[in-house]
Amino acid sequence: MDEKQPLLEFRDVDTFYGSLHILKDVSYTVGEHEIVALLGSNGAGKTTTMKTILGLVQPRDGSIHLGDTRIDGRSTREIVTLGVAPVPEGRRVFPKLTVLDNLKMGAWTRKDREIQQDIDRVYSLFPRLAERKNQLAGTMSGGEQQMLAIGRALMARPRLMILDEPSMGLSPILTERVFDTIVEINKQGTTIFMVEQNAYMALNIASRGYVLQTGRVILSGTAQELLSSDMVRKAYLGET
Amino acid sequence: MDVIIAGLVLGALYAIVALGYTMVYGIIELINFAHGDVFTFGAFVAIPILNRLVNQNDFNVPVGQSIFAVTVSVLAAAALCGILGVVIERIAYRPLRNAPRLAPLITAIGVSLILENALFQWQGGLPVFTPVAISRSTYTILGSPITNVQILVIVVAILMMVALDLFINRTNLGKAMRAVAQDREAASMMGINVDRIIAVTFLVGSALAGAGAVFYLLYEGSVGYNSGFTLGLFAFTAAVLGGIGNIRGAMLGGIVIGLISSWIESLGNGSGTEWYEPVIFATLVLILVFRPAGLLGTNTTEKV
Ligand SMILES: Nc1ncnc2c1ncn2[C@@H]1O[C@H](COP(=O)(O)OP(=O)(O)OP(=O)(O)O)[C@@H](O)[C@H]1O
Ligand SMILES: [Mg+2]
Repeated sequence: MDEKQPLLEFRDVDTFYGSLHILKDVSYTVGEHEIVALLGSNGAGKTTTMKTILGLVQPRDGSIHLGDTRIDGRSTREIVTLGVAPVPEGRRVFPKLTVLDNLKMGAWTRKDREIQQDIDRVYSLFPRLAERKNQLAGTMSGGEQQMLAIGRALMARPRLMILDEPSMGLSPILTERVFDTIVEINKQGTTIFMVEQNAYMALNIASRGYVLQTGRVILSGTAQELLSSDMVRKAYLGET
Repeated sequence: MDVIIAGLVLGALYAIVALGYTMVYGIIELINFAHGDVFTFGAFVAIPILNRLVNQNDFNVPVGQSIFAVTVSVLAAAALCGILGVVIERIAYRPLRNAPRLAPLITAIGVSLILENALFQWQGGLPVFTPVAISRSTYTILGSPITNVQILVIVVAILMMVALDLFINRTNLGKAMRAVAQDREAASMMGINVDRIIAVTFLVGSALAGAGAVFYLLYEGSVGYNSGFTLGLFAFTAAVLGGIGNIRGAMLGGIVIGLISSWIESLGNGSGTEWYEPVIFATLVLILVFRPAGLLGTNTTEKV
């Protein structure tokens, strides 16, 4: 296994919605500069994992660490300011703001003067966004909105980008483009923790992965190990 | 033409108050019934200041004195109303933010009643008159008389609306307000402090009402403890007409309602006065039935 210092660590986390026990004693580690995939069927608790990282749901038990800072119990705002940027499930771009304004909202916690520089960087990553910078985000296609959601997350200059099903609703070609971009972002120094249903593609770019089932981690290992495990092959790669 | 001028002045005032309803609705989907009473509070704040700063026995108030007195009372009323709005949100609405929608609505009616009673205790049940803070002079536009106060109200209202529009559409804070209105959770994921943005919305909406209240006073000459309630209902109608949640819609709705009420009032040699309230409220009902999204509103499904 990787011996890099973990950037994100879940230690025995339990999360509830009211009395519904969703995440059960879950532990993850995501090393600095890694790409880690989180797989699992519908309702397994993947989105809940993302919300727990962001402090939108507070764990009832266990602890969450970002580098050497404990982040459970903190507000979403603090966690984002510490360097976590989400690409949420369903994109969640601001429909009646322009593309450019959506990007600016991504930079909300920043005070430095290099925001324009980063907007240009996002534009060079996604030239389509540059062409449409004054279009309302809600009128863009699903793929364009996904690019915008990723670009918006980049604007925070995150240490850790968490993506929740970035390929949802995208054509195979577009999915490939999005995954290439994720690799590119990772190469430029951002750690990636991503939820995906598309296990094959996710494990192709990830170094490690976890499989979640009804709130428990039932399998974890390197991408190679998972790709060759019977369980993953059956459940996610459609092999018999 | 007289009717149009009077309508524009009224409409400008309605529009200013309508903005507060529509901004709050846009961001937390609450009809803030207390908004009209915040308006009255602003007028009550301004009256003692105007009394102090203008010489009440002098019908020829020097221009400098008028400007000073009006500026000070506008600033004071806007500031205190802004604070009142923020306090109301903090203690009455924020604790209910995740409650079923009916709870904050009932609370808003309660806050309105509390404020109205407090205003009654403060100034009594009779209309309170203000000194003449600006000496009247009359000009002629297209053959119709128009007073300097009427011009002032229209000009100031336009300035306030343009400033608000620029704030909402051009500044980062304004964009964050819109982001929170469109998707509160996504906004918090950007690190936006949603509580603070909502407080700013109340601050701005209430401060506008406070400033508007001073110009209402200058125009009408008096205000009663429940004036804001009635005016608030008209302004609310204007906000619904324009499309509740839509800022430019509120401005347009205000003007339209102002024109309608002044037109009705002018009918039948002035006997229309008794009719404008029912007509306005009938308008409200008709909009709600036939075009609930309002003139400039889009579908409300976007909120889902
Ligand atoms: N706000 C909520 N209140 C109550 N239960 C919830 C809430 N949100 C999610 N759940 C439940 O928690 C469980 C996990 O949901 P979650 O959204 O984390 O699943 P997921 O793994 O992301 O699934 P999908 O692949 O469908 O997106 C589900 O059973 C869901 O019904
Ligand atoms: Mg999910």
